[in-house]
Amino acid sequence: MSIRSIWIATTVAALCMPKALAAEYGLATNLPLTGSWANYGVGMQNSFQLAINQANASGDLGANKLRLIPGDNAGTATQAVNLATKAGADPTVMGAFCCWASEFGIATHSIYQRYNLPVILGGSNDHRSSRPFHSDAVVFRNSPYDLINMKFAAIYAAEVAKFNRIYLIDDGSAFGRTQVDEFAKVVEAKAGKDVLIGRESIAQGEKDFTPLLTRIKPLNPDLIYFGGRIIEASLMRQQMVRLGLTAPMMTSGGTFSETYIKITGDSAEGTLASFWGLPMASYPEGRGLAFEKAYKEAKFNDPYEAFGPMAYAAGEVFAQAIEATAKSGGVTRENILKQLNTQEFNTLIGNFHFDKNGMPSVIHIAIYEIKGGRWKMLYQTDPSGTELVKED
Amino acid sequence: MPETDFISAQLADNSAADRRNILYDSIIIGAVLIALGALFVIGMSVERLAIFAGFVAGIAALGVFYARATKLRHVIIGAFSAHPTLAVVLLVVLLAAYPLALSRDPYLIHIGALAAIYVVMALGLNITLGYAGLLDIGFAVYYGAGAYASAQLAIHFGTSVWFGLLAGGLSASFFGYLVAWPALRVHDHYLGLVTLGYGLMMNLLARNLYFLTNGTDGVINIPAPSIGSHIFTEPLNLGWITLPFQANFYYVAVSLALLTAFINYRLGQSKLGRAWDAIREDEIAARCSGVDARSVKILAFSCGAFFGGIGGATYAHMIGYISPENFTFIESITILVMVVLGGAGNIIGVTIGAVALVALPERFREFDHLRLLFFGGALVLLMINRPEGLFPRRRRRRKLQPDKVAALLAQASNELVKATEIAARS
Amino acid sequence: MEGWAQQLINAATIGGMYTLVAIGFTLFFGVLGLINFAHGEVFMLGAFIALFATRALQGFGLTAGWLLVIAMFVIASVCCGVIGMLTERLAFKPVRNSPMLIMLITSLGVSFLLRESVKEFFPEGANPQAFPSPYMAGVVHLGGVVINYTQIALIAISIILVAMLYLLVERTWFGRSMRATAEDRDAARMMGVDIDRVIRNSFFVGSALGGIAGVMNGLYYLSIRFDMGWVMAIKGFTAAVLGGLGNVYGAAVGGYVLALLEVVIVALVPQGSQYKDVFVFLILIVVLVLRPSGIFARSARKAG
Repeated sequence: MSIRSIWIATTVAALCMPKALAAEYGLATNLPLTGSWANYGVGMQNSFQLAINQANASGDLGANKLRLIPGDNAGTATQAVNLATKAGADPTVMGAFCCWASEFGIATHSIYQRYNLPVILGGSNDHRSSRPFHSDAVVFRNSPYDLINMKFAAIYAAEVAKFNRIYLIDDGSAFGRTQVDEFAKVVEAKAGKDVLIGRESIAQGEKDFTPLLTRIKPLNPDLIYFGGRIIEASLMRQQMVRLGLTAPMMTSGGTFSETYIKITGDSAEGTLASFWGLPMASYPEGRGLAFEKAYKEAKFNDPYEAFGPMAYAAGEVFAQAIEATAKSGGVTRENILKQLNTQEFNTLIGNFHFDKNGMPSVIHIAIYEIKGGRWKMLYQTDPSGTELVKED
Repeated sequence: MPETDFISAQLADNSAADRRNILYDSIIIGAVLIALGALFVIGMSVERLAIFAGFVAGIAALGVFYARATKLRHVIIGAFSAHPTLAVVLLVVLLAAYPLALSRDPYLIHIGALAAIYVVMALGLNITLGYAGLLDIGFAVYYGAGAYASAQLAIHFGTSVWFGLLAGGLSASFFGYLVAWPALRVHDHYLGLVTLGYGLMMNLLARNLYFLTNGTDGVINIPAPSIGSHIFTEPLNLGWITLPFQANFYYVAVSLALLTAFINYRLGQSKLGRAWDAIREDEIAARCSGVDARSVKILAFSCGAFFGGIGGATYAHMIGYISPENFTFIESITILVMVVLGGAGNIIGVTIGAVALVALPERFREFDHLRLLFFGGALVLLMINRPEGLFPRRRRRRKLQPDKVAALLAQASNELVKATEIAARS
Repeated sequence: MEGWAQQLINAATIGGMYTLVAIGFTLFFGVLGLINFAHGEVFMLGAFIALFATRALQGFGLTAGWLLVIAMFVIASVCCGVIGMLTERLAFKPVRNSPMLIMLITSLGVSFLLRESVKEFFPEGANPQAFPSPYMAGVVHLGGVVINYTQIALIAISIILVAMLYLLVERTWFGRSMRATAEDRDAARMMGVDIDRVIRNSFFVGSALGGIAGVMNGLYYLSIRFDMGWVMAIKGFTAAVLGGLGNVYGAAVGGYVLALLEVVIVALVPQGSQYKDVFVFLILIVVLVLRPSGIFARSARKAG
């Protein structure tokens, strides 16, 4: 039975084939590289890659190398879950960076926990994806979640700009709804219930908001708060302006991007957004500008978009954690977890450590407005993170 | 051609029954199954592109060789058809051994479990579409119904997962029953549209009815099954070897798949199966022969849905998270392609279709954005050239009984002669 | 009150698009008995072809408003017509005599092919594309109602096209052949009608109309995506069913009726915007089941 023995031999050989070399550590991403949010995902992937490349080139890791394992969740939860499982099950993967979309953060954190794989959440605004709202100790984030973001957005809307006829719209997704819920809560606390004149949900993928906007127009809102993402926000803004509804529209991280300006055109003018990131020039010690320069030199095909800096910072964190563990105790998931809990990291967004809930000790939140076709920062949080400070 | 192969193998069989040697056959069957398994594992694990290209070339060469070597084909098919029970037993043994061989690769075990779950669902659609010929392109509804039912029961009422599986199946059955009523009143492509509309509607409702499904947030922290004190999220300790926890789900899923295949087979052979054949071929004629088309169709929908629900429930407990996004039109189409590509009405074909359509997208992750393009092209090409699928359904078997055939022919010719005489006289 | 008038204008504009797509569906069903899922993608292709043509023409310096728009419509309609004919010849003709199941699955396959091809091969196809609007952003104010020029033009175009279609169907030899083929294919063949040509030309007309609807959609929303055809297919099909499949005038009216229903739901039902599509699907199922010959039940055949 010579054929059979050949098969047996091949199977045995295949199974014995060694996996990646021991001194190479994998970092897996779980991002929307295709699909509706690809503009964000690709920017994040590139930035993360940049951080890894720089770490490899710097020599700080000694003989060790970091390897990026790209994962495209194509903007669907099923793929995000698959990728989390894949990364978790791969023994060479030491850390993961996930997910942009809040829904995926919520879906995958327990999977990463099952495999004890440390994961840094990029984006994933919804607080339910983070600690302390669940107890999965492997989950960290390097940007604040919606409770904090929305607090400042609401402070701006209610106390600084003093809007008093606010209409709320969410896009029906987990992210959108929670965002609007939190915004409304704080506004109500600061300015009373009467300021909110209505609330409606739309469906993602919907293109025609004119019937809805026609219904809202007679109510004379002075601010329309939209919890949702770029495409719907863009269409809504265009249709709003065309109907003669000229009140500003306010959004946050799901919309804040260059892509929004590009596809909305002239109607984008006057859009407000709250976001947990600063213009590159505003980051401390010129690190933002250095990142921008390095990104340009790396000649990626796409811009780093709004979340690039967070992705870059996450890459820096992993590189520094792996460097530390390689020097003491060996690179394992448990050791990296320990490092994440104790180490002080020097990154683009500042020098910070993670608190007991995986939150960064440094946060930046800013309020932007589109003026002259560009996002201009109006306010940002002060270093203690308690109030808004005006920019000039 | 499979059909003539089968017949000639059968004939060869009949005349050479005494030359069959059980040991010889079992070695052949075992070798073929192991080979297929090895191919699957190698295909999924090989990393470097060059080796993979060589692998694909090898498969192609093998395929050509197989198509040419008729005698070898006869031998193999003969072995399988002479001892179907033995083949199944060997298959079960190999399936059980799969995680043992792959204990260092939990991801492949995970894929195996996922594939088994889709086999269950595809076999469900096989009943509705393959047996009864009812086009259901909203199958994801049943998948979703089963998943949500089981998950919510486990979370809110603390029911055991095993009960949840059953409840999921029944809940899905109910949804199948629900669509059966409007479906009864329409035919053919209208039916496709009704099921399509139904699928889309249910998905939208799942997204919006928070109190029932948690809407777009999805259901998280779905508990994993447990047997006694062993929870499925813990590695499986078999004494001499410890398997990663995915193996737990793998064994359950594969058992379900085997059970579903068996039930499919029995249903196909039963009187109900014959009734389904009848309405699929020609409904009016079937009705005239006394087949109660209504009940038979309702049963087709409900039975198919039941398996969809079981698959969905298993998925929910395995992954721990479900959301309306898992149950979209694309999912329905995927399951449809599994059945149509594999061969509607053919259990083995559908199984292979399901496994292929789970394993290949995982393998070719970089080309995932081309997946739907591939589906479209495959569907069109299939429908034009080979609508019965890669593994056509088996014609209902009737053993050739030469003496009976001769008697029938004789009788027929007598009738013909008599009729001609009558015609000549008048 | 003016809110209602505004909503009516919204409905009329969208209704025009639904109508054009619905007419295509009904034509295909009439002559071929085929539910053509791919028709929604032809709609999408119309928009993309117009976009492509605009970019090319702008490269040649043609930026003047009206001329560009006319060019868009003409190019898109002709190209879509041809694409429709091609799909018929390549994909549907081989399965013309197969069971309905197979034809339906084939049309599903074609729709996937068309949609994914655009996603893959159109530059940045996966992202939404900004659609040029050479119109002035001018508006007309009637009382408190705001109507922009685009809406006026689109409503006008759809009405004109439906009128032209009436002439085509009632007054030309082609129209008669189409009706004959729809009535009884074999009898028509025996009367000397070239069935193949009639089917091909019906595909041309239906697809061209779909393409025009796509351009209209682009001009109205100023943003197009590769997956915009899919939902439009369902809505267009629902409109066709409402009017009675095979009944061209029914389709024309069905489009406006559907748009009106949608607008009413959003305007009156709380959270209506979210459930709008649920209602559309429900309408589809209900009509298919209860009154398959549409709300204008002619003595035509029943479903199946």
